[in-house]
Amino acid sequence: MIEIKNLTKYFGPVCAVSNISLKIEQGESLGLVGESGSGKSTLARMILGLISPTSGVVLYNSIGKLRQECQIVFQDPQTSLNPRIKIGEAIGEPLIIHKIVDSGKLNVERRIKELLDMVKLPASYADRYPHALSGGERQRVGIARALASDPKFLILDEPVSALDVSIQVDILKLLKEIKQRLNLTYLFIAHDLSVIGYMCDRIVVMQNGKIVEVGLREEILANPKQEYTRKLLQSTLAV
Amino acid sequence: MLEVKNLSTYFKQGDSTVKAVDNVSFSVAKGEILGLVGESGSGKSTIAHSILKLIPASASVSGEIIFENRNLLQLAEPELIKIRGSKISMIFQDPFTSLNPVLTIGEQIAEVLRFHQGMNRQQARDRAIELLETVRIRNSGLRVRDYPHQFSGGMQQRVMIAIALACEPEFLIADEPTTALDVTIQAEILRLIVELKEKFNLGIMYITHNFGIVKNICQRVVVLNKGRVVEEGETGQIFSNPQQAYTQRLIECLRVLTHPPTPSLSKRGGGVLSADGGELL
Repeated sequence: MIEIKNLTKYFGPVCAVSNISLKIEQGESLGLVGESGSGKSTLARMILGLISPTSGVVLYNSIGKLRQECQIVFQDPQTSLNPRIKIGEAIGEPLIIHKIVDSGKLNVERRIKELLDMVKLPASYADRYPHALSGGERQRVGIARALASDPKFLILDEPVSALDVSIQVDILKLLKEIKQRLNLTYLFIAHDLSVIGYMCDRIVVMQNGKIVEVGLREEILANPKQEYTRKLLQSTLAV
Repeated sequence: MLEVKNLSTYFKQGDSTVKAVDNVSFSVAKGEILGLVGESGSGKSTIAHSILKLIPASASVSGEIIFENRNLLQLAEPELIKIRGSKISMIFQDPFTSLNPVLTIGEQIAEVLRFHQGMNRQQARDRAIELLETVRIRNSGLRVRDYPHQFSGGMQQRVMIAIALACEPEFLIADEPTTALDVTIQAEILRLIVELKEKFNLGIMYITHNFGIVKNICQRVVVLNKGRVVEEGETGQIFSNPQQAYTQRLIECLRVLTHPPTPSLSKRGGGVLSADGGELL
């Protein structure tokens, strides 16, 4: 679905992403794991065209529709929603920008309701401001907003790391359900292998801007080949 | 060593009263790590702040907090100042916002020493370097001159721990000190906290929403929900036989993440601290 070829990004003298090539297949849930500074988010942003690579290319089926069909959910629901814009407007904005629904007000409102329903929030939340929502609820809004433009591919950049463990599980379950229902493809970014293991079929391990290991979930979790992957695995707190 | 008796902390919100902490009692022994567990809004941090009277004057606090045969809640501010950061100290969740960006690391550690122990500049600086070594910052002699932005998140949290340990406290409150950090760094910080506890025979109250951390470092657990204690007991007992639905749910959440889909994780059990010398529990 998406193919990345020799993608490299320098910020000044710092090489954030170094010569990465990767294919993301239609319908898969690909996990990208690594520590802070390993280049995960930089890679995600280059895929979406939010920053331009120093060298290398990103190939997508219908490149003209990339902005509509590829969406992102950010880590921190607190800072990714505008505090002065009501939830309904925040979700409705992409509908208008990408001309997803006929501009009739009723149509927009109906779609906002649908989207809120999909993330299991009551329709009345459309009139609220972000501060009146809990962290988990705000992340649901972030997901609804990403879904508004009918995307086919979703990047989830640490969508649960700012949340309580109990809320994390609720959000992860919701994301699984939505993926199946809408037949989406996911690139799921996290530093915690247990979260990645729960969500993803295939896992890419990144360190210092490079891919150190790629494999199916079972292989990576049961039989990691690289020392670094073993270290990540040992750091997860099982109960 | 620290006993909390019938602690209630209420906040006024317009005409209504929010019972953030409602009649909570527990105690922490010397050399023990007690886990205070609950979700956001369960009152964990309010308890920590009530112990050191770091809450707004408008809040009403009742009950007793007994430390060295004195009720901290009845102490006047000048007395409390002698205890805060000296006998009881605290590590906060977010090192990025708790360190002062315009002071060097050394100055921030030295400040505590000069204030509480009356050290002069040179003494405080030497001791700051020692403390950085204790929390394993390499080249500590050079790094004291750095500013917080020159340190990574994990290193900043180590500095916070150094500040908290500066006056050799007897009791440490750790308020979600690893939530803002990567899992690999989290494991290192947890290891450090356990080590320092052994070394200085500290009593520690460890606040978290994560039962995985509890299983790895805490001897006893108090579970909070909506400002009340819903369950209390030895860590092993809480895990093998949680009595309350709320506790079961919090543990189950972690099992969902670490068990069926990731068999290798569950087989190991909580192995973070067992890398060099067996499980600590």
